[in-house]
Amino acid sequence: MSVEGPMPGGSACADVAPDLAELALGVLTGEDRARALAHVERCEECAAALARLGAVADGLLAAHPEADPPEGFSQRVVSRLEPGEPVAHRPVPGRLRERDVARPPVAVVAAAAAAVAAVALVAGAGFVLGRTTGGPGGSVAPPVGAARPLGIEVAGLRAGGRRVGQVYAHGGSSPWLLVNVDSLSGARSVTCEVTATDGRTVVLGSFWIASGRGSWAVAVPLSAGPLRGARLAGAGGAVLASATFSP
Amino acid sequence: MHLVGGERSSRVTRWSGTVSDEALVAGMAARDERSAEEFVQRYERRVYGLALSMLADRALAEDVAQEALLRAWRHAAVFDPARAPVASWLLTIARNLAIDALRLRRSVPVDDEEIARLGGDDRSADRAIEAALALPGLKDALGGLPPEQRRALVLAHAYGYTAAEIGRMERIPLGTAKTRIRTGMAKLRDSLDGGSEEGGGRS
Repeated sequence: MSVEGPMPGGSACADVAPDLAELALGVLTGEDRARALAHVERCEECAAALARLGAVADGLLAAHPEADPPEGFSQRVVSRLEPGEPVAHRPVPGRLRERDVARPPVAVVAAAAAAVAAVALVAGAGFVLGRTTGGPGGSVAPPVGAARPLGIEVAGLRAGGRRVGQVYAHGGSSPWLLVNVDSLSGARSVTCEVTATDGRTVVLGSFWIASGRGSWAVAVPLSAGPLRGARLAGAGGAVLASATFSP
Repeated sequence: MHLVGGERSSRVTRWSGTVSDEALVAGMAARDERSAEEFVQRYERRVYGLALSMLADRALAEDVAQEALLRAWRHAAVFDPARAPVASWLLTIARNLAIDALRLRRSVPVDDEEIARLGGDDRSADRAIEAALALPGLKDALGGLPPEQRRALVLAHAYGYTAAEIGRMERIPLGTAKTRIRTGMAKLRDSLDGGSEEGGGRS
């Protein structure tokens, strides 16, 4: 149903509907593409139709066979990684499923990234998730399936006893946090804060929830120190969901 | 092991084997090379396989696959898991790059005068379709469609042809080409919906 503009099933939807399959396949060009993208951005019904066609296009991509790349492939890729400042992984809210990274929604993200990167440069006493050293043997298992540890920890995000998403955290010299919300109804904008093992709370910023879903990654200031968990608060400050890392 | 703030510390790493794709992308956005290494190792066969199946050229496929993974590194900050799974995002990047490469070397004429000159002798579309349908996965995915819809979808999906180009290649009106793409995709979508546990979704 159209939130704004034409009525549901109106002429705009009828005009765009024939183009959605080509849009999903990435072969719609020019004015037709621009018109379809603009319409889908504001029409839930057509956005849903596009998402379903996008799943078909994804299925076709997944139907291609895997193949072993030439010897040394992964090393050549890694050797070409350009260093750079950490940036915020902060997708722009919206319904549009943009399938071409040649046209990323850069402007909003870049602004957020700059702000977060500045925070990340704050020097501090150090950031480690959970226990720092020498915990009980049962709590420090060797890495699974990796020659070197990735050092990423995950905790379930829960609201009222129900799992509503996940929180990932990475320590090291450039700590960051990723929050994936899968089903948190009734929230539009949430503030993410982390709690340190010494009881301090550090507010990391806010992000949008759309249709119960949202995803946000952010650099964590080193000064936050070892973390106990993370939580999401609503506009009024009430805690809506929380996650606790294993001690 | 990480050196943090001058103090040697140990990290809990029990989750390394089950780190999600989304977490790895977030790590890449934070310019964490270990996340990138894991990501490359996790996806190199799929990305290279896609490029190779589209290009049929090992050297070119490696170039495309490398570039796709590097673009994932560069654009990790704008990836949105609410909009597409990581695999779809990455494979779409690879496909777009492969299509760019195909367009550079494309022998199938898309110019009206070229089409007119060649008349009915142009068989390159047939060869392209046969090559794509020789891939078992695509053959399975598209095998249930009527031949004309299957041809249109192969040309659009695997070779990046627009409806206008398909219309010229197949010598059919633009509207017919669009209808074939749309109808073929709708049938695949219905088949996907019918096979899903959620049973068909909304209208």
